Order: sequence, then C-alpha cells, then structure tokens
Amino acid sequence: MLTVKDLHKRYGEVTALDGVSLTAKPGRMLGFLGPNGAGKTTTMRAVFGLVRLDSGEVRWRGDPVTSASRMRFGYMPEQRGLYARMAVGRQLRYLAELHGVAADDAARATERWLETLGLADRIDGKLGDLSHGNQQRVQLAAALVHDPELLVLDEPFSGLDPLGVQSMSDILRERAAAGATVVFSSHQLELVEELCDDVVIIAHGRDQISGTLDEVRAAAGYRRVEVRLAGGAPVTPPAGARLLDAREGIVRLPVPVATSVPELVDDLSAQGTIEHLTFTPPRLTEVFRDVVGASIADLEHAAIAEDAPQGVGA
Amino acid sequence: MTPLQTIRLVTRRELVERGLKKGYLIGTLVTIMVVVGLVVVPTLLRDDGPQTFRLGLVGEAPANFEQLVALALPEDSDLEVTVFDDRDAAVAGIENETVEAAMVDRTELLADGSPDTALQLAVESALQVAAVGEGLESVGVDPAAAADVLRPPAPLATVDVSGETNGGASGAGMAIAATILLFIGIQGNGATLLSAALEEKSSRVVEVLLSVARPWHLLAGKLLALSILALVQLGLTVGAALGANAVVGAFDIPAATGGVVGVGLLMLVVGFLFYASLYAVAGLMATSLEDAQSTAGPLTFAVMGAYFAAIFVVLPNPDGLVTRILTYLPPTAPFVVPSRMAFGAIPAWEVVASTVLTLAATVVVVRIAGRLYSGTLLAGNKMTWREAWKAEPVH
Repeated sequence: MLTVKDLHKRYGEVTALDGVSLTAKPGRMLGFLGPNGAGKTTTMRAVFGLVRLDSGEVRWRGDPVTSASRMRFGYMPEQRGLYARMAVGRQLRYLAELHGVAADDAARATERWLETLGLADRIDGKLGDLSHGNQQRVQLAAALVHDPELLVLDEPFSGLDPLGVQSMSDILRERAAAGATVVFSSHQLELVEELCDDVVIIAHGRDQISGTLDEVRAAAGYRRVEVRLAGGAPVTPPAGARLLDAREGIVRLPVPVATSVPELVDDLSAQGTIEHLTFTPPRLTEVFRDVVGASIADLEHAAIAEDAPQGVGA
Repeated sequence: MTPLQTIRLVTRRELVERGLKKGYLIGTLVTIMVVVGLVVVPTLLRDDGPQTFRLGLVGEAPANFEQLVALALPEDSDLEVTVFDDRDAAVAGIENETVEAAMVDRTELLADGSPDTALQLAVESALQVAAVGEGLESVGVDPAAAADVLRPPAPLATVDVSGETNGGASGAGMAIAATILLFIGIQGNGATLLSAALEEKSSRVVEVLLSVARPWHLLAGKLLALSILALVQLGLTVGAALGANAVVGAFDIPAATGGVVGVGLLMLVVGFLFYASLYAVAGLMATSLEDAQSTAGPLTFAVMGAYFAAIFVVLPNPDGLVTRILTYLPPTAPFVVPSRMAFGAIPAWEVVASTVLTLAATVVVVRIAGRLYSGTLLAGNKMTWREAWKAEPVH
C-alpha cells in the first residue's frame, strides 16, 4: 500500500503541492487525475525522492519510503527517454540490475518482457532505430523489468495509437491482477473509467475527491437521466433539473441527487409515453468538470492559449 | 544495493558502451598509428649514407686545400669541390644548388643564408693550416715535411656535463612530456566528457535512473569509466611510441628515476579526475552540445592557463617563487609538480604535500560536482555556474 500524506511543496512564489494525499492499494489500479499544473507530476516525483518536500510524507507498507524500498518501484516518468544509442536488451538488463536484480534474472526478465511486447527480435537493436510506438513499449518494459511491487506511470497512454492503448491497458490490468499496486495519471477519462478501481482528482495542488470509481461518481450532487418519449416528443425538465442536450429524441438531464425516481417517472409520463429511461451516476468526465470547474477540453484550450507556461511540473 | 554496487554498474555500462564503440576503438587505433608513424617515418627518411659537402672554389686556393678541408670535416662525410670562374658564377652555383657554399679568393665564404657550421669550421681550419704551412715553407721547411706535421685537428666531441646529473636537458624532456600528456589527455577528452555528461539529461533517461541511483553515483561511475578509457588510450599511445622507438631508435629516452615517472603518472590521474569532474558539470549545465561548449569555456581557459604556466613559468624557472605557489594550486599542481620533480628542484615533502592537496581538492571538486550535478539534472534549461550552485539538489 502506498500512502502519500499531506505533501507541500513551493517553488519560490509558485505553490506546486498544497496538501496532496492519496492511497493506492495492492491489486488495484488508481487513476490519478487533474488538470495540467495541478501537481500530478510533482506528486509522482516525490514518491521517487526527486522532489525535496517542504512537508508531508510518502509511506510504503506503512514505513517511510527509503532507497531500498524504491528498488521495488517501477516508474514511467512524464519525460520519456532511455539511451537512444544503447541496444534495447542491454539497456533493460542495466536498468533491472540497477534495481538490484541479479544479472541472470535481469537477462531472463528482459527476454520475457520483450517477448510479451512483441520486440524479441529487436533485443540487439539500438533503441533509437525503433519506431515511436515501439520505443514507448520499451519504456514500459523499463518500468516493469524488475517486477516492481508498485508501478507509477505518468501519462502512460499519451501518444499511443488505439492498439498501443489496448496493449498498455492489458499489461496494467495483468500487473494489478498479479498483486502489484498501480498508479497512473491520464487525461483520457473514459480510459480511466474503464480501467481503474480507484480514482483521485487533484486540483490546485490538493486532492479534491478520492475513493473507488463508484464512490467518486456517486459523490456528485446530481444524477444523469436519459429519456426518450414516444415519437421523440420534446421533454420539459422537471423542477430542479435542466436540459443538457437532446439528440435523436434522447434528452439528457442532470437532476439533483435527492430527486425521487417515482416522482420523476410520473412527471415524465405526464409528458408522453416513456420509451427509454436511465437514471445513473454521472460519468467521470462530468465529475471532473464539477470538481475542477472546467472540462479537460476547456483546460487544454486555455493552456494552448496561454502558450503553456514552462517550469514547475504538472 | 550499496553505493559501490551502483557505481560499479554505472562504470561498467560506460566502459562497455563507450569502450566497445567503433569511434573509441578506431580513434585509439588511429592515434597509435599516427604516433608510431611519427616515430618511425623520420628514421626511414633519415639519410644513413655519408653526408656530402659540396664546396665551390673561386680563384687561387692553397695547395692540398681539398685534402685539408676533408680532414677537418666530420669523419663520415665526403667533400665535392667545384671550381668556378668567378664570384658571379659561384653565386649562381649556390643559387642552383650545385654547391652549398663557395670560398672566394681565400677571403669570403658565400652561402645561401649561413653556411653549414661544420663546413665553415673545416674551411677555416684548412686555411689556417695552409697559412701556417706556407709560412713554414717560406722560411725553408720542406713542404712535404710541413704537410706531414700540420694536420687540422679533428672536430671536438661535445659532452653535456649536466646530462650526467639527472636534470638539465633530459629532465626538461621528461617534464615537458608529462605536462603535454596531461594537457592532451584533458583537451582531447573534454568534448567526450561534455557529451557524456549531457547524455542522461538530453536523452531524458535521468529521471528513471535517479529513482534508484543518487546523482553522485552516476557522476562517480561516469568519471571513473571515462578516466579509465582516456588513460588507457593515452597509455597505449605512449607505450606504442616507446615500443616503436625501442625498435628503430629514433631518439634517446631521457633517463628518469622511478620517482619522476611515478609522480608523473599519479598527477596525470589526479589532474585528469580534477578537470574531468568540472567538464562533467559543464556538460550538465547545458541542454545541448552547443550550449556545453560555451559553459565549458572558462574550463578550457583554465586548462590552457595551467598548461602555459607550466611551460613558460615553471620550466624556465623551476625553483622560483611563482613556481612554488603554483605547486600548491590544485588546477596547476598536476602540471607543475612533474616538471619540478624532473628538474630535481622540488624537495620530497613538497611533492607529498602538493599531491595530498591536489587529491583532497579533487575529492572536494567531485563532491561539489555531485551537488551541481544533482542541481542541474532535472533542469530543463541551460544554467550558469551560479544558478547550478543555487539550484535545489535532488535527494
């Protein structure tokens, strides 16, 4: 179990972390969400001792993280990169050995992972000669080759094509099923929704909401209603609800969480024959928008418009 | 994992990735071939036959003059005499290299520039002998008898007495060799050090490495490996040169005591480490090799300065005050100490003190370099020396 508790970090005038806490459990996948600049990368770096914290602590299995415990961690940093001119196999063996794996085991693990990732024939090739997608695979292998108990991946899906996303997802699922603790950040919320057991959303250097995926979604102050009346008849939102959008006769309405379902059904039946009705917690995207105060798309627009200020990690 | 295990892994990686690279192997091979060539080729081109002096004559010359000049010339040389009608013809003969010098009427020795010293001395002594012979003849001594007793003396053999006392010319040779080797070692590997230090940062692999290794582990392993490679290359080159020389005998190796060689080697290693660690930091403060060249600027000047100080201050004056001061400054000590030692102009305790001081300074530099290294590792931009020092170190 990884416990990150009340991390604080300032870079001069900029507050990067303002009390981030999170918990990741063995055998489960934790989605680490937040807009750019919220402190995700700084938090992940703190786990690996790459940030000198002003306060707060990182614990692994209840004990403060030491360089010995980090030997059992795997890291895929936001800034990807390995030795471009070094042979893929030698590179992975080197990284495994740096993590304390004996030379023989390192060689075996390297072969196994390259086999799994479909790169067995590139073991003696230079990394720089591989395609972008294959380099990403080697980067994942670099995080996995020492069979870590904790896997921390910063935006592992960025830059992957749909097939790459699929194989990355499969491997992460498999690792979690094998008992590893998996933490990853992502902007692809549909993917997080599909993969993760637990979710943390941070903004302004602090965790805003955390829990299992269902808990986080249920914590929203509204429910998502989709309704279609016979003949695609127009729907007048009941009291307290508002119209989100309507397409092909399906009308989507956020309604307050306290809304009584029978009353809602009565209200809608009065307007026409109900052909289709769902009453579900909101999607993660919507929760994110509520928590952060903007959607990912809005934030990315804003970031591009501001010409994405450099410096302190996201 | 202990720090030593990590450093060993880093060192091994650098040795394998660099040492087995075509660039290093070919570079080493080419250097060895060039140096061996420099030793061997001149001996092949050297004219092993007797040296021939070509002398022109204008006007009357003493009897037996040719014979007298030949006697006064070095033993293994021949003399060719060409007679010219007049001075102009002799000048033309010199210009078209028919002769190298020409004597005109016993009064002038013409040459293009200065005449060959041996030839000039031979001509002069022949004239003197001839003059004495003619004088004796004029007072009635039989010319044949006179010629018998009057022979020009053989040229003097020159002996360098200081050469017998382990210093002087041979000492200077050793000193210059040690200084030049260190200079070449540092300058020749500066670019490699810069790019090697930059490698982790420019390839962005550094974050993965730092999750398990400390910055100084990486730095120490890198410095160790690069120093081994550079010194092995230097050693092979020098060894090849000495080996080639032992075969062809191109030059005399100055006799040097084991102490001079030992201290020279020690200072080579210590001096290399001292400057290499600074080069590594210079490389780290940059984001590209172009940047690195500019951050390394002050260092290049420092190495040049130390080198020229050793050549122009220490060698001419191996016992002066400035020399003594430079002995205790770590950047100059590795250049200065072997020079002073080769001249025998340094007491043993000064050698020890200076060596210890330089070693200590090297340790301090490696520590400081480690801090600068960790301060600059995760920085995305080019830094100045000042910023690197103030940057927050990781770990």
